Amino acid sequence: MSRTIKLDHITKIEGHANLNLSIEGNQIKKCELGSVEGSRYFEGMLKGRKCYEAPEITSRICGICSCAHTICSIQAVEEALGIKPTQQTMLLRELAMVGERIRSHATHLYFLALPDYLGFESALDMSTKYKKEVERALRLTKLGNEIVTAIGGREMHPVSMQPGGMLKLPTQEAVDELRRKLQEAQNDAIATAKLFASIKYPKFERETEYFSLYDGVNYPMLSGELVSKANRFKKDEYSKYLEEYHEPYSTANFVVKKEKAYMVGALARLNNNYRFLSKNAKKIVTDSKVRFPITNPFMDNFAQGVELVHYISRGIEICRKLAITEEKAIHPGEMKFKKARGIAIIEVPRGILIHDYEINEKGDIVSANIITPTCQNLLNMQQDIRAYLPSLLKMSEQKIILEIEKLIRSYDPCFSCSSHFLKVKWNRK
Amino acid sequence: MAKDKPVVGFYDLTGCNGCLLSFVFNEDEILEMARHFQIKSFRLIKELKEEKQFDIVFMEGLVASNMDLEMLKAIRAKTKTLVALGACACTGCIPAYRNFIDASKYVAMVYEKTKEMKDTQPLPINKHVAVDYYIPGCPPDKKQILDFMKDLLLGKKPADYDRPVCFECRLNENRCLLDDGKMCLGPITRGGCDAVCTNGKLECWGCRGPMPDANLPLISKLLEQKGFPKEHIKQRLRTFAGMMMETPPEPKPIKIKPAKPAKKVKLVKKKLAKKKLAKKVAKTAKKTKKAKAKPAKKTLKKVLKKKALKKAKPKPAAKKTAKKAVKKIKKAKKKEKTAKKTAAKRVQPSKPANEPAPQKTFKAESEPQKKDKSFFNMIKGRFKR
Ligand code: SF4
Ligand code: SF4
Ligand code: SF4
Repeated sequence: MSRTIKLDHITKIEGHANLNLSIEGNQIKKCELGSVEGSRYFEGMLKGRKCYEAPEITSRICGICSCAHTICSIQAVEEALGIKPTQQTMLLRELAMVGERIRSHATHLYFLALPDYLGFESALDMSTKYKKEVERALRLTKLGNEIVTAIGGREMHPVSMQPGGMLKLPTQEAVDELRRKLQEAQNDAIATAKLFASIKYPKFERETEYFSLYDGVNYPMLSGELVSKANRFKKDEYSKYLEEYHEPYSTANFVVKKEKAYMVGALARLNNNYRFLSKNAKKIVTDSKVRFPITNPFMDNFAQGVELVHYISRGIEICRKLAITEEKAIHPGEMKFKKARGIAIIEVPRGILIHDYEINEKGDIVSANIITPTCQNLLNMQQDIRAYLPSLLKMSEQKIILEIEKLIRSYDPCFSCSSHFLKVKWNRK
Repeated sequence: MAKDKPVVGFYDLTGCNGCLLSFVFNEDEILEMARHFQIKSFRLIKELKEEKQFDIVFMEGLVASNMDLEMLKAIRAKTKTLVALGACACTGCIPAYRNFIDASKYVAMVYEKTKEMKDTQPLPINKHVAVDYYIPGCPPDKKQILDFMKDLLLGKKPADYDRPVCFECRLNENRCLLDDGKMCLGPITRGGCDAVCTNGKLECWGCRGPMPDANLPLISKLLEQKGFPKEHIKQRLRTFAGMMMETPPEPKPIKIKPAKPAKKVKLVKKKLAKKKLAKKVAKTAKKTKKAKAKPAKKTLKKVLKKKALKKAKPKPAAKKTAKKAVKKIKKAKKKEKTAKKTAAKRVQPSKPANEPAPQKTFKAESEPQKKDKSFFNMIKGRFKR
């Protein structure tokens, strides 16, 4: 029997993607997962723009990760111009990232992933039977938004961050208020992590290379080297290792490392940086008796739950450290431009994000390269589907689709970023 | 009972999902709001259901590919009230800035795509279909989306935004950023955002589009006097709402590269494919005891052969694609013309009796664009009524 499975506009993911499967007997002949989001050519639009305009423009690549793009872009510009931000600015950036991470993980876990495991179509439908869970999700999302708003000026596409520093500083009272709210949210985070530790994930193991940032001191966020079990390299060397290629069925490109697929994201971060987790996050891990490295991609959900607990602790720590002192951002008119290249790599909710700009002596961007996490995960997702599918073939079509969607969603892919997700069409040959 | 509630869909074309998220981020009200509507389609958080008819559809994003266009048209055909949600849908936002840059800046990034995914000129949705309401902003303020939905429920005319950002900025007692040497577009930009950017000390970039009576020549003169280079001013004005101010130059046909260009990558692909297949074969062999090794190997060879064939093709195809591209663009132009006609002809959707008439300001342009190439005359013509 041969059949074709086509999933167009996969749902409950960020952006649009299609999956095209062709199965003959027990052989998977074709497995094409690709983004079908219209191309926006951000890198092209950056050319000829002033480098300090880049954060505002690249923020529009992705709504859910707009702080991440803004900050990565800012750091690339700073790198090129040789600007060193103050420690306060760095802490505020990290706090904004913590806020964004909380809302991104909470949204993904409860709104996109959980309905699959509880047998609901959407979180909105869960709201009667699982009122507690849905309300918890909304509380966490709200907290994340409040943090981002307090620092960035609004929930999305932050306004107060610029190369060189903050345009507007939050008041000390606002920071203290955030600390109080973060402390209150600790129980919500732990309940979430426990919930996602208790879920029975499909039994499926496939080891791949797990890449994340690593600095040997902290759980990575805004800096570090690129590290996996077998590899380690500096951020400026990324282009030596990572290659991109295109397929006609995807508007997102594929990024591979030396001919091989690799994985980025919460699971990869955890596999490489387990030791740097906060105490209470570590406790969740030991209580659930998992062993590292985790090679089941479905466990990315579990990893996000653990991270949620960690980031809330980290947020509290940052708020404690912060004693807001007046500082001024560098006015674009005072920036000293020179011909230079700036590369920034940071950890964003879905993995590693790279912004790489070349600027000229007038401060115009000459060339830009942006690599998003989903592009890096795309091939690995495909390979996972290929490996997971044979065990599913006896199931009904509906179940196969559900399982594959679960697998794809566990990666928390974001196709707006990578250049839209899953509607299935079955074509029996 | 439930049948009386309006059937609502949330859709997205090409965009960043920020507008839809902005609605979702109404954490305190979203569950309550969901009870008053039948939310039938919301790809971001629900399975897609094909509805025959929608009362209201919120459309995020702009048209940037054939797929977008098809989806937009299909949804317009079954929707009573189509709401353009956010700057991408209203003005084309940053993705439409590409209309104003030279193709040489992005041509290297353009690769061969399947027909349905082929790029189109990036355009706000009203250039293709009739739009009933606009909620501008990048992203639209989350409360603003709620207020709009409440108004629709109550049968009220959704609030009109007819004051510039400066008005709100002054109300918030901000220090004027123009005095700080920042290129603020607040004076000409439609407010309604509570001047959120200037509150955070970032100059207004004009994401909500220009006021109907915006005096663009004046603002650019003013900014020039402040010492900003002309080219830079132009770029800024075009970034978020260029499409509302001028007609961009006709897109030129561009040469499209085959999907797998680099030699290196080809190699990578081959090895990868072999490895992948070998692995898969090993796995399937293990898992399904019945599957024998021989036929599996055959498929491996076949697949590799096919891949090799595919790879051999692109070279001679390159010229063809270029020719095709020219043809396609010609066709697209024709289509666009017919689309405009049909959009104009489109039978107005039957509206419930209590539904308000579309806003007068910030309205879809149904008249064909004038082909005046000078930058500011265009705007003048468009906005002086
Ligand atoms: S208008 Fe802005 S927030 Fe909305 S989809 Fe476009 S870029 Fe994203
Ligand atoms: S800062 Fe901008 S919006 Fe505010 S008053 Fe000045 S020009 Fe107007
Ligand atoms: S201040 Fe300007 S750029 Fe900012 S949201 Fe308002 S209209 Fe948009």
